Amino acid sequence: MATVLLPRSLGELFPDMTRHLDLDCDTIGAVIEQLDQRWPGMRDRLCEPGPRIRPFINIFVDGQRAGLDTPVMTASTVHVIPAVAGGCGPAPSVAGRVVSIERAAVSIERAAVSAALRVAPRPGFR
Amino acid sequence: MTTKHMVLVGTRKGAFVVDPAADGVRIGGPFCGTMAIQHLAWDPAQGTLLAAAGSPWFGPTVWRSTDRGAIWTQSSAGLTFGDDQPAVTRVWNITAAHGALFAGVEPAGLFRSLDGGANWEHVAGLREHPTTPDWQPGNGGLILHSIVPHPTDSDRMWVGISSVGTFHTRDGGRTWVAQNQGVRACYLPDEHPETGQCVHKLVRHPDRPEVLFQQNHCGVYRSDDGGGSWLEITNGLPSEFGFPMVVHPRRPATAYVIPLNGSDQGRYVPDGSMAVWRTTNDGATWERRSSGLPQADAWVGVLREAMATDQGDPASIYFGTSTGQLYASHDDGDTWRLLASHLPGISSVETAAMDG
Repeated sequence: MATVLLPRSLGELFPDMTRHLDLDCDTIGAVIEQLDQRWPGMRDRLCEPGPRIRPFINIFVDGQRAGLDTPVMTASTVHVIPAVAGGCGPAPSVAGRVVSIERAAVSIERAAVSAALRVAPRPGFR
Repeated sequence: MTTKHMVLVGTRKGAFVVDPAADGVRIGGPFCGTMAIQHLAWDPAQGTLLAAAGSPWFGPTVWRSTDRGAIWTQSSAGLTFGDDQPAVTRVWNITAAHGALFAGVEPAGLFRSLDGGANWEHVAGLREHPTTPDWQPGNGGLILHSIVPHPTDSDRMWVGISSVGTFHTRDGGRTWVAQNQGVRACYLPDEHPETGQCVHKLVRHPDRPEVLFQQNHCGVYRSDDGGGSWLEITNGLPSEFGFPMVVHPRRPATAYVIPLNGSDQGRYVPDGSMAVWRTTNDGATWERRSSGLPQADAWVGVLREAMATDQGDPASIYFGTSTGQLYASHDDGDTWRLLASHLPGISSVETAAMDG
């Protein structure tokens, strides 16, 4: 069974969601399908038409960025991590991003954080 | 059974339901997972609260509550133009009419739900209009924000799209006609193109279905022929620029706007002095109403969806600022009182008549 870790912010949309669960799936796409069966509508929160993973949603398998076709092994750990952002106006500096992500590391594994630091895009607010 | 008029407030950080009771304002919320809410609406036929939402992370969705906000669910099933088309990013407006729900989205498009918002279908005819390739986003995006159903003819509807203009259908959404004749596009070399006019808010007179009003980027307008032509009625206002516009539910020829100082000057109320402007003669003249509103150092704006009237008698008028203040008038706009002062930035204000 793969271990799947979901973000707190996703639980705001699905009040009965559990953040830590074990699933028997062979790809990330299958993980998302199982999540959608447990919490209908979750697929649309994580994926946009295509289907493809939403631009500001990052999924990692054992610390490596994953797509819908990425294999999931029995002992894998899957992190779903929304891009780190905050405040209004222009995106903060790279230094600011580093600080924010390091704070996020309190609750998630360091390997996934490092991967997010390298590639996670940032949404903006109007 | 008594009827209570509740104020529905959509904000940058969730939805709120405000009871403006005279013996003490009560605020319910935040609801909808503190998601940015563009429009919190009420379907009186179903007794359902509906919230138009969008998140940079989790995409567009419509929240629903059938128990006045105690329990919420959300769905975006069907809110797509297709796998090979641009993704819908936000829902901007929810309007109930003729047994259906309609959703205006970004990028500009119209959806319809026949099951209370659980599933949506694209009203494809609008994006098949021949001008669609020329549609360009404005400052707020390429958004369909105004949905104006005809009160008795379910085949007729008007919609407003920022930086594009007004469209009308007479055949249930299969075909649409651009209706921008007489509306200036003051930022374009040709001020009178077929489309490209930046309607900020489109509303209809409650008793005269062919009378429409719009607050535009470039003035305020009235149409007496169902949008076929527009007459500018900006004269007498301090600015041609603003966002919200509402029509009084019973008084003929009475409407309200909140002018801002201009698109490039901060989009504040002029001189930091807050006022609602009222016409009682279809826009021939305007009067400034400001009693109870701050008259200095009020560097605030009011967004397109953030003013509403209720159906009470006398009717009350409400508006919310982009910095989180909610105001009410119970005398047709003559005087105003502050209902709430520390909400998140307010995107929308609506009212709901709920059985007490």
